[in-house]
Amino acid sequence: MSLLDQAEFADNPEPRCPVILLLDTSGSMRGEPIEQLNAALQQFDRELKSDPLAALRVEVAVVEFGGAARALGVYGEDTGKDVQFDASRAFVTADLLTPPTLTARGGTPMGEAVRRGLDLLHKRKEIYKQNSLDYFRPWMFLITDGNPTDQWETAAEQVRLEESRKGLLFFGIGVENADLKTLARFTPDNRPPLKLRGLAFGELFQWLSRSLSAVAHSKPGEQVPLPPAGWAEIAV
Amino acid sequence: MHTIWNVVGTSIPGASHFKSLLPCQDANAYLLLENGLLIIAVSDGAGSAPHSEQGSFAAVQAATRHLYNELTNAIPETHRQWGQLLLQTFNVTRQAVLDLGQPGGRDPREFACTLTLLIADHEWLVTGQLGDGLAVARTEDGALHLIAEPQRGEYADTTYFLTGSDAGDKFWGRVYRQGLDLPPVTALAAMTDGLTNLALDKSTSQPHPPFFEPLLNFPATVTNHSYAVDELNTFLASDRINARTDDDKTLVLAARPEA
Repeated sequence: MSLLDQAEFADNPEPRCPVILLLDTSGSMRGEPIEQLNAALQQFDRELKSDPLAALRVEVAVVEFGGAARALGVYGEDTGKDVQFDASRAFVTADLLTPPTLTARGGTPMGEAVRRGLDLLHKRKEIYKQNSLDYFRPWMFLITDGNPTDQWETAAEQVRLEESRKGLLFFGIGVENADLKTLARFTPDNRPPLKLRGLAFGELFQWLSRSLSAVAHSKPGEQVPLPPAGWAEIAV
Repeated sequence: MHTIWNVVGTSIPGASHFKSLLPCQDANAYLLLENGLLIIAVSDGAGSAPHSEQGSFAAVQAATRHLYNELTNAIPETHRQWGQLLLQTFNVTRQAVLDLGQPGGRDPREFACTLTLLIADHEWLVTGQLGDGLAVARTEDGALHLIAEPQRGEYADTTYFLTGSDAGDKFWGRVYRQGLDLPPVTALAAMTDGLTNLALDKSTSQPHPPFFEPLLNFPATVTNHSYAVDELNTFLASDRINARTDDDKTLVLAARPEA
């Protein structure tokens, strides 16, 4: 045995790659759309867990907006409960994730969801710093089928500003009759909102898990090429 | 009597590079001068840069060549003189990497890479740092010193490269006079980012002793240099290491034999 084999390794926690899912659960999502979305979340969970490194690095939070914006628990006893935007409870690494089952009701407080989501990310970064955890740029992934029913303009400006500061990566996805023009006020110019093809939530979340896996495996200075968005409707 | 160092080093591609058929983007170079000076350079080519393996190779070659030319005849006598030499070496190295883009008018960022420099004899210990490399020294009293710590941006996947416009602002050096600024140095290690997570305790940002002790004892056991490089390669390619990192790995180890 070589002397080198006696070297023991520092047991550091893996760097974290946070993703917040902002999911529209307003009344118009009732029926087929919400069922497809719930099934897609389960699939997302399975796929993240199938990549051992991503499972330890990707942290998921779910903020639903239907009637009101709520951060839902994603782990153990908390699953599906309102965790009051508590950044220490709202996120969990994919290996421990239990996706909540969403129910559709009420209006579309999208502005509130984005504002609360930004705040949650900010607080999560503070937790990383306190615990000497390295982290990747957070992702915020918004899916909506409608129009915001609250005051959304300042939230849109905030998220664009945060994106321009490289504070996060924001993706806006419109479903069926979503108002893409409004959504485009949230998204950066170089990443306009995309329209989901039909109710292809499964493909969308498969794409998301693959993209997050690629980020979780990335090295300093690497620009991660995202897989083609096969789930998007092609603009003609 | 001049210090003579035992030194051994290697760079090997990470598991993910094998899979994606990427070349090893790390490079290292080390030189032992007749006047007892040891020069080590390690460089990590950026994953996103298509020709970063040429960048890292040019960087370690240019840095060691320049230091060899400057140090063969005269060794700086003050901290200030060492500082000037470091800065000069950084500028020459950076230019060598930027020049790689010249023939075809290519974007120099295609050659993006980091640089970690170590220079040591019985009197001086000098480090230069740009990017997320790492260097550690063990002193006579057995203590481990982090003499070049990784530079990171806010995110885990960001650092600084020689080709960056801010490289000159981010490059820094340290000059230690042994016996004065720190106890006499007995062993040194330099490495690239691929090993950082195994080598440093992130919570304390200090070298992890159970990792470094066997490694720093290794050079003293070397009788045949190429066998030692093989042994280092085997260690770095082991399943135990690959379970923790899929990045390229560079490790250069040096030790002064028992006085």
